[in-house]
Amino acid sequence: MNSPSRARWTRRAAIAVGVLCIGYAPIAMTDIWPYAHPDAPAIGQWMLARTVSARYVAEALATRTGPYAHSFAALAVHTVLGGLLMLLGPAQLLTAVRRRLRLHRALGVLYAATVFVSMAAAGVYLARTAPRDAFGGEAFWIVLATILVGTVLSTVFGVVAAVGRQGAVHQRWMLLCYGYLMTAPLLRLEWGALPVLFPGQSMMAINRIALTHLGSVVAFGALVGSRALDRRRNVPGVSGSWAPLPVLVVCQLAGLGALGWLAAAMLRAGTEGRNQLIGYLVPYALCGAAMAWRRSVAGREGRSWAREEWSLHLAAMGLAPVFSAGAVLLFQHALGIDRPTALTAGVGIGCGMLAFAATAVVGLRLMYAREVVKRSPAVATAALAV
Amino acid sequence: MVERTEQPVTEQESPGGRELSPAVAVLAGTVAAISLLTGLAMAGAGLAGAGFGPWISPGPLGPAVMGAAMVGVAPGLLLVGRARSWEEARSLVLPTGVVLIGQFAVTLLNGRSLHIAHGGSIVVVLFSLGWVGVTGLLALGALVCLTAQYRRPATPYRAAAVPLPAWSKPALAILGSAWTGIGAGLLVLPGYWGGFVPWAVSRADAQALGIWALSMGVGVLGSLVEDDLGRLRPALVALPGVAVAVAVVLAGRASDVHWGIGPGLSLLAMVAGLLVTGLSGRLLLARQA
Repeated sequence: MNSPSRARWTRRAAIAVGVLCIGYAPIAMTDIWPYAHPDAPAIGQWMLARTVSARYVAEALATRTGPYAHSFAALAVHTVLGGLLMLLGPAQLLTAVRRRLRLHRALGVLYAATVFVSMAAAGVYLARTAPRDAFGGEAFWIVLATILVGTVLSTVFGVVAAVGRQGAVHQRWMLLCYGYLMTAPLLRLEWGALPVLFPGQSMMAINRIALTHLGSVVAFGALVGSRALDRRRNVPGVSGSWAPLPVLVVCQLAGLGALGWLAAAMLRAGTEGRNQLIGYLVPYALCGAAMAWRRSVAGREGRSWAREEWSLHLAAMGLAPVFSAGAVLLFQHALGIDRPTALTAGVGIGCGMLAFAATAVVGLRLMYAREVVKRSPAVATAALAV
Repeated sequence: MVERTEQPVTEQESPGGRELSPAVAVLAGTVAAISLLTGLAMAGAGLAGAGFGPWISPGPLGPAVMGAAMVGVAPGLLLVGRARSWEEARSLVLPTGVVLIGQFAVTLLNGRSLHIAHGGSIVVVLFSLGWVGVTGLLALGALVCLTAQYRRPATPYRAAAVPLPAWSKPALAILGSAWTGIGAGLLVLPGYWGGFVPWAVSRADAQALGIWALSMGVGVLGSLVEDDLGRLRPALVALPGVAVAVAVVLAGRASDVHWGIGPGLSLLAMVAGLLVTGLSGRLLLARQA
């Protein structure tokens, strides 16, 4: 289980994410300034123009000047603090792993305050921007609003868990929070990389393809991080499973049915719909397969807690397309938006929302286990003996 | 990773009674967190003059008062986890169960006025969607947890009782009956009894407020049944919490309330009654300790 090769891979992955975050921080902090001062350095735009083409960037950004200038102050606060969060995230991970608890707490207070102010600024931008004026339309607005709420709530729950001295729960919420924040650098990477797979597409179309899987990728990353940091074979008070095999099978079957419906609807939307379907399905299938594999390995190795966590997330992953299909119908009916836009928004929020729900269930599972230990002298004695 | 090492509730510390199910403790903590966040959003928006709720409301006060009640009850719910037995928690958990199940029922009964059915801005539609999902899960959770609770073994409750003073009982009976009566009226005949709410309410607002009023009545009358201040600790925090939070919202939107008529004054008296009940109960309990 904690083999040297696994530890090596975990360290490499953590370093890679850290480098990505630190590298993205100056891009995040400077990206908005050219909209107010044309001569200001725009590292991100320059890199994207070199990677894809100047026209690709110019066409997309021409539509941004108005909405961004309208809320420039809010966006400046959001992006500068967002860059700071990119630096604080790896620092927090390092202080947690090295057990520098005082520093971790002090930086944690700064991190949480920065999240709240940065997200408040993002909220001001969203409130001042009509959904149709977001980059790529209503779908992007909905996904951004969902990420905003998810980031704030996961920070709140993470802080509450820390105050309640529930380290494992705190860790999961904060990793999910950072996962949501990672949607920003990931999106920029995809703007540069996806044109290789989908040549000739505008940046807005590429953005919509990226939206379909941002949630699944970052949530999976947060889950892998949580699992890497939690090496317990068993958790005292945890017995049985909240996601036994029949539940998992029902969730996956429901998910397959919903996936079929979503796929048929996306294919009817023409080339863009087909591209979005590929963008959605491939990462979804890879993440789902990886979860099922890790669940199976944990089961074989007798690591019941790891198996339980993978199971809960796998069940949620199965239900994500069901949620997305329902959201598509709701958005069409309640918001009056067209089917292709509703599809992009629905699949864009499904995996991220269900990962949030799964993290909540895992947190409740751990809280329940703690209550069981607290209220059962026999279990408490056994826990002390472990 | 810092994990708190909980002191287990040992046989010696146990006051007897029915063991408190871990599920109830977790449910109470979860409801507290969700109530605090949702309630702050609804009450805060209402204070700012915007009606922010899951369904269409004629004004900001209906959702704002509901939000205030959610915020106010949260501190009491956080104390449920400290209870040593079910007897020490049920005075608050049972009314909370009434709210959780009732609120979801009201949401379903008024499905057509929900923003997800009626349409609206993205924010209220997403909030309405979340409301339906979360209230549904919490109602189901309440049923499961209460079932789990009543399947726990029960022994006689042995802790020394701190009885309610005799002089307080008639007042508590009147207060509890008033909240229960107006709550049942609003729930069953929202069209008629909604006219007695001193601000503009929709059918859904009236029924949801009715559920909250009913739960207050159940809580106050339940305290008479318990007749032991030691078993009322969480409820004695929740009652003044609700009273203060509702008073803040009513004061903040005072211009929207019809103060000059009977219902306005009655509401004031009933809210003041909750505050006095909670504070006097805590005072008496502190003196006994």
